[in-house]
Amino acid sequence: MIADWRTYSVEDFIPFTADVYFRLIERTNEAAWPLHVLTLIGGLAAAMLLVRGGGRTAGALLALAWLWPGGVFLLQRYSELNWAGDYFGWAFLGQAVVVFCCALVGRFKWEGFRRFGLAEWAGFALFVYGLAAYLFWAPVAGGGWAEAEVFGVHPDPTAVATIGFVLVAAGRWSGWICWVIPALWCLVSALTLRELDVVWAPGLTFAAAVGLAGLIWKSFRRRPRSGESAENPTSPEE
Amino acid sequence: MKKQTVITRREALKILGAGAAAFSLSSLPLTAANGRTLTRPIHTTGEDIPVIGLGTWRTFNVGDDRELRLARTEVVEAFFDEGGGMIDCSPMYGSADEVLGFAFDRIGFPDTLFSAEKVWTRDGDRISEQIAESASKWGVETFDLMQVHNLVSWEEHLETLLEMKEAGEIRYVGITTSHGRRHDEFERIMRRGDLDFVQLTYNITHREVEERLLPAARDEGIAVIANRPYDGGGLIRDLKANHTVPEWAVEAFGCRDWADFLLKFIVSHPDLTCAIPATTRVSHLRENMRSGSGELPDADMRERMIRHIESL
Ligand SMILES: NC(=O)c1ccc[n+]([C@@H]2O[C@H](COP(=O)([O-])OP(=O)(O)OC[C@H]3O[C@@H](n4cnc5c(N)ncnc54)[C@H](OP(=O)(O)O)[C@@H]3O)[C@@H](O)[C@H]2O)c1
Repeated sequence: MIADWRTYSVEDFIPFTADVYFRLIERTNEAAWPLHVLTLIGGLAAAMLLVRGGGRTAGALLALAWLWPGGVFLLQRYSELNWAGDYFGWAFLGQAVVVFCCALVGRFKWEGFRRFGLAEWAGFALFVYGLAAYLFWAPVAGGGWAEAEVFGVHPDPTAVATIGFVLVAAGRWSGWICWVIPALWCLVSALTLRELDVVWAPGLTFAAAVGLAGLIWKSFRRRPRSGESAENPTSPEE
Repeated sequence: MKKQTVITRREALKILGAGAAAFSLSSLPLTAANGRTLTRPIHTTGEDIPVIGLGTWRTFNVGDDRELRLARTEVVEAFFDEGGGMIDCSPMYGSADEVLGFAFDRIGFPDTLFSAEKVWTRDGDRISEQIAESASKWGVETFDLMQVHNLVSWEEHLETLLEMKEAGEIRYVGITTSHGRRHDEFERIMRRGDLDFVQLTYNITHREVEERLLPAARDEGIAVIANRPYDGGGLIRDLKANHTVPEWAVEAFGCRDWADFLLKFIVSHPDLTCAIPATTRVSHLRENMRSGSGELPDADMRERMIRHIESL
């Protein structure tokens, strides 16, 4: 039986071709437009609110960004192509709840650029990559704007930006619990896209790995967050 | 799905003359049913099916995308236009069953269709429900062949399928594997003696089944479907991109292209019934179907073909 498993490859678990996948992205864009504008503004607003001390609202906006990729893209569309899509979709909705709960109990905080370490800078870069740069992959690779993937509409940029946000703003355990689902998705998607010969696939593995390294780094760094000891905020955030 | 008006082996031989149709290599006679398409008989009934069928893994899973559904409809249409017979699908292939149904809705059910579906569930009690779901997606009442996909819960499923066959609800029963998995167990099931079909991986670079499974099929009188004839596609893509078909193959059996080379290698094995390449493109489909007609390589030529591919 073990020997049997060795005969399986990633290809055996990808039940669609690249053209079908990109048509799915394209058709989702057609159906969702102009939601893109709202989700991008929402992502920017989350960053600005965080900086201004509104960690709770920022987290709530981030949680909202997981609803369409999970509830519509994965549960309604992707699952038609892949039986595992239902599980992914529910995991995304679960992530929305996790992020929302963390936001509610004040786990997202802005510490200021002056207190940025390596992990926070890496997180900042991932957030910008997921929110802005990711948009340009498909057009640059020749697929046109119709195939562009957008934060809050498609799963990949949403997961990448969330890992970035978490590295910048989350506390210790909240960082870990908010990282798990986006990181797992990044790995699943990286394997899928690699099989479909998509050039930006390695970026997703990289995002998950940077998240992991950043969280480990933050766990060992002995620097209490301002106004709290470890995970216990002493005062409400907002 | 009994909508067959397949010309029987005897009728076909009458049309063509037995001499022209029989190949010395074959333990089962090959027949050119309409003067073009080579067919092989299913051992348990003698019914002939064309040696090239159509697979649907990945290629037909296009969801509810109308544009792509119409493109796949063209592939199905071309398949029957070229004298195609067997189409193989599975509930595991996402929306492929529905996409086939969409195509049949537009082109109707050709007389030569040989519907090959699978059961793919661990739950023995769900099998009837799953078969009914698949049938409604295809738009058929019953299937010609129902196979246990990758031996999943095969003990329970085979029992039910054999009962369904007895009751006339399906016509043939089979099991499938691929990539050389679980061959010992596969052979044990074949040796029970109650199967009409097996489906397994056989192509010029994966020939493990020649050792035990194909002889078992011959002994037990089981029809054999070869899946992954292009090893998932990489094999033919690589050959097309980097090599030309050897001249000796052109001279020996009129080999036209790499599709011809690879598919004729498969279906010239005496114990093979048909190969089921999958494609998204009409041009590839026609190329593949052309391999189901004309001359086939003999045993010496097959050896040479293997050596050639190994040398590349
Ligand atoms: N356990 C099981 O039951 C099992 C396992 C594996 C497979 N199967 C069955 O067997 C079928 C065939 O296996 P498969 O689909 O895995 O692999 P395959 O038929 O060996 O290869 C399919 C690939 O070959 C390409 N292709 C087809 N004709 C071509 C041509 N003339 N020139 C160039 N490329 C060509 C197709 O790409 P284009 O779209 O570009 O033509 C497609 O990507 C499956 O579809 C499925 O029905 C069953």
